[in-house]
Amino acid sequence: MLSLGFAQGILNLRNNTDWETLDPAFAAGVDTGDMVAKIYDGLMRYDYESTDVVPNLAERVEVNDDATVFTFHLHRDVTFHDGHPLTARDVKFSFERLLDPDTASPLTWVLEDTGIVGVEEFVNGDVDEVIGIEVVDDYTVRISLLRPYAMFLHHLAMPAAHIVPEHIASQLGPGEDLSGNPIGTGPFKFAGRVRDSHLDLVANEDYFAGRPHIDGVHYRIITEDLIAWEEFNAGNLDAVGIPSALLLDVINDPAYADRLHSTEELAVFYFALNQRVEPLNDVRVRRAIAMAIDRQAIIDGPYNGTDKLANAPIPPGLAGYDESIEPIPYDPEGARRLLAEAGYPNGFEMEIWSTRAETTIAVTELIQFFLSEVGIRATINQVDFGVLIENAIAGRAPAFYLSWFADYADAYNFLHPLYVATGAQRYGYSNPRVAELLEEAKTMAELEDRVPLYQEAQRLIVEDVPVVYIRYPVSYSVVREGVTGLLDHPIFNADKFMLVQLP
Amino acid sequence: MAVYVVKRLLQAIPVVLGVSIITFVLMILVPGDPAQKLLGQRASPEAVQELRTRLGLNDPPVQQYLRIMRNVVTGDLGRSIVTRERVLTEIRNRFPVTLKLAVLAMAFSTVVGVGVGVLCALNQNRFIDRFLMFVTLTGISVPVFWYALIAILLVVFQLRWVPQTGIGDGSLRYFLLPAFVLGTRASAFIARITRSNMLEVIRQDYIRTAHAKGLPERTVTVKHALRNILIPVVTVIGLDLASFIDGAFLTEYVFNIPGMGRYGLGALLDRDLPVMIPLVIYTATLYILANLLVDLLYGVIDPRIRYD
Repeated sequence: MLSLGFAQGILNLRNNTDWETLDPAFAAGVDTGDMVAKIYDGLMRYDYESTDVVPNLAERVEVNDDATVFTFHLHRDVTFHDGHPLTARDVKFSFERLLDPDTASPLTWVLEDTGIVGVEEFVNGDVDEVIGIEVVDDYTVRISLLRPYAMFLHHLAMPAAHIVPEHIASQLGPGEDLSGNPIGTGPFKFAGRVRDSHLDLVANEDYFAGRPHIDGVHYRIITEDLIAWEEFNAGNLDAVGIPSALLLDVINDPAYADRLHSTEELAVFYFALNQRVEPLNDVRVRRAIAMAIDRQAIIDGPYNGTDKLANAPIPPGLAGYDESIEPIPYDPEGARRLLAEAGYPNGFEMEIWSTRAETTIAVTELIQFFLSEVGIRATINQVDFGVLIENAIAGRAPAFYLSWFADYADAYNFLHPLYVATGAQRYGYSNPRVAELLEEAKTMAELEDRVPLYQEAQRLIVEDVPVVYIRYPVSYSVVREGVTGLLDHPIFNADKFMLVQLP
Repeated sequence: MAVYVVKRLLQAIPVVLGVSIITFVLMILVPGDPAQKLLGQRASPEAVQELRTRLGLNDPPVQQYLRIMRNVVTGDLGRSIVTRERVLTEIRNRFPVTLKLAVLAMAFSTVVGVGVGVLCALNQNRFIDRFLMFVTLTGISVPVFWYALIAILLVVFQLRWVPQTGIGDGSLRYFLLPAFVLGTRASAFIARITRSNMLEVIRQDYIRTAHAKGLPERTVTVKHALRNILIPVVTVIGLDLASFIDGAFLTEYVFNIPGMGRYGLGALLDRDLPVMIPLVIYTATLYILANLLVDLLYGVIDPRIRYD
């Protein structure tokens, strides 16, 4: 062992809400996914330094020539936190548990969308196992797909596809999940929690990839950003996000300069225009709306000027991001001309839906103001987030401001869900050529082959103006002097705290 | 007396039922779908419908309500649809925390409220009276959220009397500041009620008689005056106690205290009916019991009151 046994101590962190679950099958949110990555492992994980997926519980992965059969050779020395060894059976069990209608997981799509052979029959209850997931021997799992699916390994790195112990999960009573006794193979063991107060993890001494440097993590639930910031300054936290109101001061304060971290998130914020609502079905009207909005002013105002102006669906940081896309300029005069051309010289009335978040309200009010400058009289309808989503998905919101954060690091995740799958439902958008391009791209194993198709689809989408792109967010945090190895990774479940060191 | 108590408890049943039904109907009518919230924006409408069916949210409302109430009546209380945690386990963990906070807040507000009220009444219209009445008015008017934040910034992060927010290791010192903040408003109310009742009482003939007998000022105030204002004061304190145990939503939220208030707030935002209904019943029961307790105390305070 290289470790010299330095007492590393506990990493002190904050979360603003409690974790709804500690069970991978239910970890739908960013916070829960992040926690699952600490306690459990997937067959694959994200590389700590890039957005590539690399083998994790799988020591290596063999793929056949047409990329439909994946053979995973598992590490042989992996044990669950209770000492039970991990075998291929646990892998098959975990995937079937996720898909099983009796589990009622909200995340079945993580495996369903990959086209594993026999999933449909299993989900319908026709058979009692997924024949496309084979246990070859104790340490080998073979998964067969109906057709090549480029993002398959990305899906296996998602929290829902993390591996749970069969001997525990199969004994759960009805309505129970693993949150009460979260046993995984991950670098940290669950050591207790008081809901809405704190949660403790301790280092897994027997972790197959080596023990983490730190001895554990103490998470505290601190609801208010400002309080968390003060806790950090009082020395009670090792890292903290910066409250929006203080962001510029902190970024410009030399005292924080060498402890400041920033992450370009894989996310896009957009103002969607529902084409089922007159006159938003006219592309000239949608373009006019885009031209009427001074998007840079929105970034400089509510977003402190620290975010990147968005011009297209794919955010920087993903292959397919295209800097050469011509931004729609801020041009109120041109917007008025376009509106007149479309038959609305005196503008029209429209309704904007927004959540009640402070910043979102500020943004939609700015949009309302810019629209009024070209004669469009907008009213704002503020609702709870869940209500907005529900109505947007049902196609009932004429225009709304929302965001999309990556599930996994591939541009497909920014194009297919928003402009093919639910795009049609949310804003009545459809472009057969876009759907075709993505259908073709998803079967291509090599990223470099997919990128030109993504970029073509992206150009078509930008031409159609289904939404007005506003921002690619950048998030900021500061760490305590001497704390290193916290990743600035754009994927929420990438950091397993294996590199973290305390002073 | 026993008959009276039993009668009152029986009367409580329709009240509790009514409150639970009203809450249930309101929650059904208010927009927002727990299934949608669980699934997030990734979900297709079909997936939402499927989950709604699995959670029983597509069942007729009457059936949903009866299912929840069956859990309540059998004492099982069921599970949250968001965390799948047993409601009973959560209440067991959280009730002691809230109770501790409530008892401290009540002790503080009673001592300070009655003390200030008496002091002001005895010094009516002098500087001390006007000053303290101004302070209590501020205490009633100040927004709790803002006040709690300022109190934390000052006491925790400037003066550093406690090392952090939250309940830390659960020891008493972490509860003092939140109890102070929680009790402030109540103490201001109690002070104002004590003062006005006290002013009335100290003009009564029997107080003049007591003074004329040559009793010490202290005896007159405590034994003759104070005892006669206890009925309105105890009424206010009783209701305050109920509202404290109900869980101070904002105080618990800002101070990061894992009590009943936080639980209720979370369930409300998540439209988590299997949690909401038991909590509403709990709240209604608390108020009923507090009222009953106050009514019983009347008899102790004033022996002329009889319960038949």
